[in-house]
Amino acid sequence: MSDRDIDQEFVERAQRGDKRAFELLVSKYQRKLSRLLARLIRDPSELDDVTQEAFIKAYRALPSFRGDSAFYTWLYRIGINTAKNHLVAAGRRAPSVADIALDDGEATEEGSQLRDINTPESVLMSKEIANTVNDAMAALPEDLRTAIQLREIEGLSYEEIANVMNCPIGTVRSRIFRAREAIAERLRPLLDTGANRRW
Amino acid sequence: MEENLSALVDGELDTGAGRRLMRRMGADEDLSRCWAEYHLIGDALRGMAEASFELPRFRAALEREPTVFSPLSSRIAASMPARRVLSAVAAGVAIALVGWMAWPMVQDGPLQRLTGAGSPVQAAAVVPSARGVEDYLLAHQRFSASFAMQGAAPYVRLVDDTAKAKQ
Repeated sequence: MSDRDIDQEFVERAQRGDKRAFELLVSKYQRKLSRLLARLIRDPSELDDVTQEAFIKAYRALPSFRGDSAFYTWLYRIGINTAKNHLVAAGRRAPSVADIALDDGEATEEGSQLRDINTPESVLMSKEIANTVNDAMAALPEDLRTAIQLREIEGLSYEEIANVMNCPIGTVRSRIFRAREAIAERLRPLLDTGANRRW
Repeated sequence: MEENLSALVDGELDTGAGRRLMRRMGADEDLSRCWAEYHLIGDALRGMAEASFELPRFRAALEREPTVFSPLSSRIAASMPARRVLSAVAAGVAIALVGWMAWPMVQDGPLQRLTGAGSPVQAAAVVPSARGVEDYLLAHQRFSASFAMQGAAPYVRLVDDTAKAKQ
């Protein structure tokens, strides 16, 4: 089941009234969209509101989504329009399309540099999450660390990872799962989402 | 189950198992939590660890939104021609049913009584000599179930009997 098929399945469930399915899409894309909109919205407190507004607008527009494009492509357009409208309403100049890189993956560092106004709480939280993940990665056995790096950073498929690591695909799947669980175990206290708590 | 979820996150789970798992995720808080955590881990490894988005606040905002319903999802829309045929057949069946139910009313209704075989003159001709029965019927026709429906017909019947009596 490809990434696009997964998104389409969630979209169709949401279109049939399942709000929880839409929440799962938000969980998946919130940081990616937020990162994109940070190129337009410099104030982190505004960024949070604009990102949420974009997702709400996407939810309202779900009946018009037919799957002709990927869900994130469609969400991307809504996000950009929402941010531009926000800037116009605030009396600020909305950047032209040329100002915004269409490949949002190419400027992650630039995006963070645009934020010249930072709220300490959000910066602290981001750093804590990043440090926790890095510490957890360093503590992983080498085979688990290699597997999850090849998957999450290099973007290789399970089959490709199996070829690189010279092991069966099932082993790759198991290693990546165990790596994620080990990292999540360290993250949970930080996220306040332990077994007895809810999102 | 979480290992399947990990594979789903990577797009490496087969369609059947993926759909079954996605159905469960809607009702299972632990699965939903793992889904969010696994995506956070991936984003953090890719340098996108910003936690500026509060999911509980968004969930509250989403709850306030009217629930969208769009039955014509892309998968259903793809089968539209078949649905159109079924809709046309259903409409035809409905029309036929209404017509079948209404047919007896056309057969035995007031229109037939005023213009067809049930005319008072012919009834009188079929029973010419039962004078007592005719008197009884004339006296009690106002209690007949068809009295209100026939309008002038009772008076026509009365005139005919009177004319025969004079003969």
